[in-house]
Amino acid sequence: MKTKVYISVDQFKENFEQVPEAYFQDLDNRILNKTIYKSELKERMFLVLNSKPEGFELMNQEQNYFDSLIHSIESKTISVLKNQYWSIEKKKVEFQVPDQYFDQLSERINARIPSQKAKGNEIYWIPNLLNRPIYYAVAAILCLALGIGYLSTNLNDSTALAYELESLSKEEILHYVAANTDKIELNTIPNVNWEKEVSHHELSEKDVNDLILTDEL
Amino acid sequence: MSDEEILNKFYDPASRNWAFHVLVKQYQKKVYYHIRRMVIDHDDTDDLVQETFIKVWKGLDNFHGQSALYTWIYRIATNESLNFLAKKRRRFFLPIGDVEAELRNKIDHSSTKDADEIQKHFQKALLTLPEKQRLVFNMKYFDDMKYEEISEVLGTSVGALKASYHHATKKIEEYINQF
Repeated sequence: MKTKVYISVDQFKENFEQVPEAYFQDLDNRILNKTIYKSELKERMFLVLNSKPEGFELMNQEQNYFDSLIHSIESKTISVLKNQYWSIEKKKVEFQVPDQYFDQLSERINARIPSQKAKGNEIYWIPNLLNRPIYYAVAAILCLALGIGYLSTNLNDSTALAYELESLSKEEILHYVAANTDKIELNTIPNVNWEKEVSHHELSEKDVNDLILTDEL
Repeated sequence: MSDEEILNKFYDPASRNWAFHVLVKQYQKKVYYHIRRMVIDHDDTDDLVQETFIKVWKGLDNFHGQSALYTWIYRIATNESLNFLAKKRRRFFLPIGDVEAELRNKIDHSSTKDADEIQKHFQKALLTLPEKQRLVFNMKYFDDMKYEEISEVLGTSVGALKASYHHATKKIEEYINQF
């Protein structure tokens, strides 16, 4: 069975009466700060400047003189107010920083920097090495030397092979081809009588070239 | 302790850590507020302050005193702040104005001591300035640095800095007067 809860208006009243701690302590200043702003100060200043003292009209002076005087005072006052405004703001703009932040900061930074002991036994791992230009130069020279060595070896080999091939006779080439080639495959080459050609050693230069270059071999 | 004394102690291996500790203590607040005024958020500032001092530690051996220690540290902190803001833009593909809008939002949600409306408005006015102009304004206005010192930090001529500061002041005044 549900029981009806009675809510008293007084409960709300209590809630409304709750005010943050020290709320009233600086309230006047905060209200002043929010209310009195430059434009308001300016307005007040004009009021003061425009209020003429008693007997002002009786003074035998040119009105223009006073106008210019008022204008001069006005601009000077505005300038002073402006400077005051800037200096007030300068003092006020302070960011909130957690308590004891600056007390602990240097310890936190020290914890992140490499220790003195480690420096003596520093291991030069790759990222460290990459920061030193001398190692780039050494690596480039090494690559160049290896490249030249490789190219010169391969060029020599291919030149020597060409020279050796040139010095071979047709018969030597023919015997090499006959010894290293399957007979069945050779028979598939059209227009060559192998029995005859091998026994009589009468192959033309074209035949030899064909034998060497054909895809069937 | 003077910068020269700190440096001499730092170059001596026996007092290196102690000298660095003194250096951090000496410059931590200046570096913190210099960065904070640029990135607004405390946690971001904390990271950047630490990174700045770690770079100072690493680079101090190669610091030969061509500029004042103070301006050299400021230069590192400035670069850290600018890189951070640039990375933020790149990471989220944000146009320049959007990062400033995010920072303005952070100003609205706390960030300042006893923040009143005028103060928040002033900070927002600062965010309307281009980054380099904001840096010039901060160093001149809040840190009372000389134009020659700012020139060392930013590598910009004194004449250009004066013009930049003048424009910044005008823009802030215009913004505030709209309030």
